[in-house]
Amino acid sequence: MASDQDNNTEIPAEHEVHKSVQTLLQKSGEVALDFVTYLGGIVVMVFEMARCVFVYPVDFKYVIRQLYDIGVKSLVLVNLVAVFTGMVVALQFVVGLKRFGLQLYAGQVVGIAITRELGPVLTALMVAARVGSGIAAEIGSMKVSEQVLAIRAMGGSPIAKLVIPRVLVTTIATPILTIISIFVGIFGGMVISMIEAGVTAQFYIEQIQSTVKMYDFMSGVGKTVFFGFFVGIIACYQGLKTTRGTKGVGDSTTFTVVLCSMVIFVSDFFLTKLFLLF
Amino acid sequence: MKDFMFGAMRQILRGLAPRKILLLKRVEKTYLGSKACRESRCFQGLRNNTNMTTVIEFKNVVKSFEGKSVIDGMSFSVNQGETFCVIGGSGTGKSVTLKLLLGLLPVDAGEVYFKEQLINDLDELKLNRIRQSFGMVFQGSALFDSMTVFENVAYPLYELNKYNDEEIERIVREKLAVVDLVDTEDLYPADLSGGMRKRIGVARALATDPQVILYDEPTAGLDPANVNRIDHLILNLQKRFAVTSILVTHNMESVYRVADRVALLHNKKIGYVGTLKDFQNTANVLVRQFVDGELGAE
Repeated sequence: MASDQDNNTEIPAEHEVHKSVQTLLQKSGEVALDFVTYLGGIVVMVFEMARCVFVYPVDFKYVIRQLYDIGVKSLVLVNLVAVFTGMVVALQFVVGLKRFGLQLYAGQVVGIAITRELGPVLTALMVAARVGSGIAAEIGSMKVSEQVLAIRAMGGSPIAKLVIPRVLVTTIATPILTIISIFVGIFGGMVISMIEAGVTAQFYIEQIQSTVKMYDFMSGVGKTVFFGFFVGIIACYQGLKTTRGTKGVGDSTTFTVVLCSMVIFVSDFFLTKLFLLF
Repeated sequence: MKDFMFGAMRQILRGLAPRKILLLKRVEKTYLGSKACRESRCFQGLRNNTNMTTVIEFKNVVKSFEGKSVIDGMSFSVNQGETFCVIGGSGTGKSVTLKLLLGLLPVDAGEVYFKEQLINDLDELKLNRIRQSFGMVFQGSALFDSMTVFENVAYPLYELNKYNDEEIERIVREKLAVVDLVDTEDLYPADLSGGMRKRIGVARALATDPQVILYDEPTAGLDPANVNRIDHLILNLQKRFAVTSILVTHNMESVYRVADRVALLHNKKIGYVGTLKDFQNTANVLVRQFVDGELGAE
């Protein structure tokens, strides 16, 4: 016993450092491995989707129904976010530009900001929160109650039946919602510009028309096609990965929203950079 | 005048309706005993029964989950038209066996044959074609929550892509009548009781007239009346259509009622297999322990 204690006091510093470095490396290795496995799983699913599109018929009836369910019912949320974002951006720029006596031109900045960046990203975030979580929860609970297995047992493909229509829906719905939110956001900016900077509606609209080009609009909306696709893919993949009962469903739902938000922010930068090349 | 004639005829026909049903029943009875029926596809199965054609065969199948072995060296075969009961304690891999059989889980080693075709190395698409010859009743029914009962039962038919809407409607009604749940078409699974859900699960498994039906604990958690009903259903299907059934259960009453042969899972493989008669009379220690509920069986 005594010698044990002696040993412990003899090599502590080096040993402890060695051990903690080892743990650190091990942990980071595990995280890296998890990340690569997850990414690999998603890539495999996308390939599987590409294969299934040609083999199984796509349930367009379901896509249309869900477009209504997801698209139309998300309108209130998306528009509320858009109108207030437009208003606050206008307010900030009116205040900021006042310092240079340029408050009349706030509309130009609001137009660019909403069209190129805020409209697309905020709409995509709303889709992730409202639709992505719903998809993950639905597919997740189907997975834990063996309904996904039942589809396979009856000779169907869960990818064709569950994943493809949902990914199609998010990919189509997000850009449409974005277009609407851009207009609503610009309208919100107009109201505030009129009140705070005293511009007329006609002046504001002319400003927007002269600054916001088709290119800006396409770059903004174009990004959301990818955002929608990512949200659909992540939500479906996470749903299909769900295990361990109802707790698993909750975890999947939360994780989907977190991951989708992260992916939207990160991919936003790269997509913007990519669109600037053209 | 014409209208009157048609009206009168309609009245007469309506009055005849019950009699027509009786007539149909009589026709059915005569048909079942006739030569035409004996030569039909359904009956072929029954006749083959005597020849004992092997439909399903497991050869030295091994399966483990995350390093934990569940099945190790399992071998058995199921003959055409028989009801094969797989019994065993909880967690002995009974449900896994059914999933391996459908290719829903890949085997680690060994071979699984369906009609002499090796199925464990087929890709998902080819497996899907084979799975369409099966019907599976899941332990927790696994009905689709978002679909009505009608849509649930119709689902495998849509997947088969062989029938038009009218035929599907007719088949669904027919299968719902078999499980005695005709008026539930527009309800959702959440509106049904556990026993009803199980029976809808059976109707869904029957929809495509499969050659083999797999039942995963079809009577677990049901009241005696429903257990009886499902047992009779299994028996009837075998008698009338020579369907091959594999029944995973730990309800011994059901086993005694429906089984042709019984297999006992023990120690990750088949510990005993024999006809129901042998099973009831065997002195096999494992069987006796399991049937008498002694703790040693686990």
